[in-house]
Amino acid sequence: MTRRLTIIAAVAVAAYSPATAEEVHQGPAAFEHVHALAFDAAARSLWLGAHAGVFRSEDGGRTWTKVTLPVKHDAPDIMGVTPDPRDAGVVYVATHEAGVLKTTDGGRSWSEVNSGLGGHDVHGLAVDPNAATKLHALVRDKNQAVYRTTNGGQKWVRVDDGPGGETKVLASVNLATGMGGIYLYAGTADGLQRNPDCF
Amino acid sequence: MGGLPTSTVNGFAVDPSNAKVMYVAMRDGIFRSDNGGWTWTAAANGPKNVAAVAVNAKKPNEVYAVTMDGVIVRSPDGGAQWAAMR
Repeated sequence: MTRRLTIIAAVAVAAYSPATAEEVHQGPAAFEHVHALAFDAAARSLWLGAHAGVFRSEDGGRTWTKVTLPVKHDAPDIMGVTPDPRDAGVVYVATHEAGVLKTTDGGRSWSEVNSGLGGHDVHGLAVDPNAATKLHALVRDKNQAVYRTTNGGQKWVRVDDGPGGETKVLASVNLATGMGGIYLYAGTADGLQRNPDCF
Repeated sequence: MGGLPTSTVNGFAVDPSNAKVMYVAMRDGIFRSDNGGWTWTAAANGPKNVAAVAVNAKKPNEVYAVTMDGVIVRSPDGGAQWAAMR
């Protein structure tokens, strides 16, 4: 995939409808090393993943509650938060050291869903918007690789080497490739890349 | 394809109602594409040093982002205007 990926190249950037500017205030620095932000399917909860763990807001980001995760570490480094696109109770998180964790009850309980993954350092996690039990995970270990599950994380299978450059975020985008699949986008240290997900 | 500064893409989010509309979070700020990533436009009023971005699943014009140092910002209009949450 590294060589097949299309790098979305840099181009001049135009101003984006300035309209009436509102000041961006510096709020309390409650989070450090933030890696992920996502709404659940019902748009009731806003989830945030950071170096210090997972946090959830029920009031549009004004207040946050830390979510307890069942891992040995007090505060696992969260690399990605991926809600199910249809079921607001289902959320996956990608961690730096504990693989993929999944909740089906809105975060009250969690289970590790790592069977088949080649490592526990997961830098990206994408759910297919058309098939919510199909996900791709970018795992960094000795070698970077993309894994796929088609059953909500019960079993992962390695499908590709993944993009070049350190991956920061991974997302399945519902744009048809013309080959029966959709695109997988990767935000990396080398820019934004995409590849058909029909590995 | 075109439109982004050549630097690290920290965050990425897609409008669930129109997958051609997407946002990226970068050190240089927030960028929006309306054509699946072929061209990009900077959010002129948005913050810099952005770590992640999210689109409201029910109101896709509502976009949230968070900066590297944890400041939450919200746009009610698809990225044109931004304000910090308090």
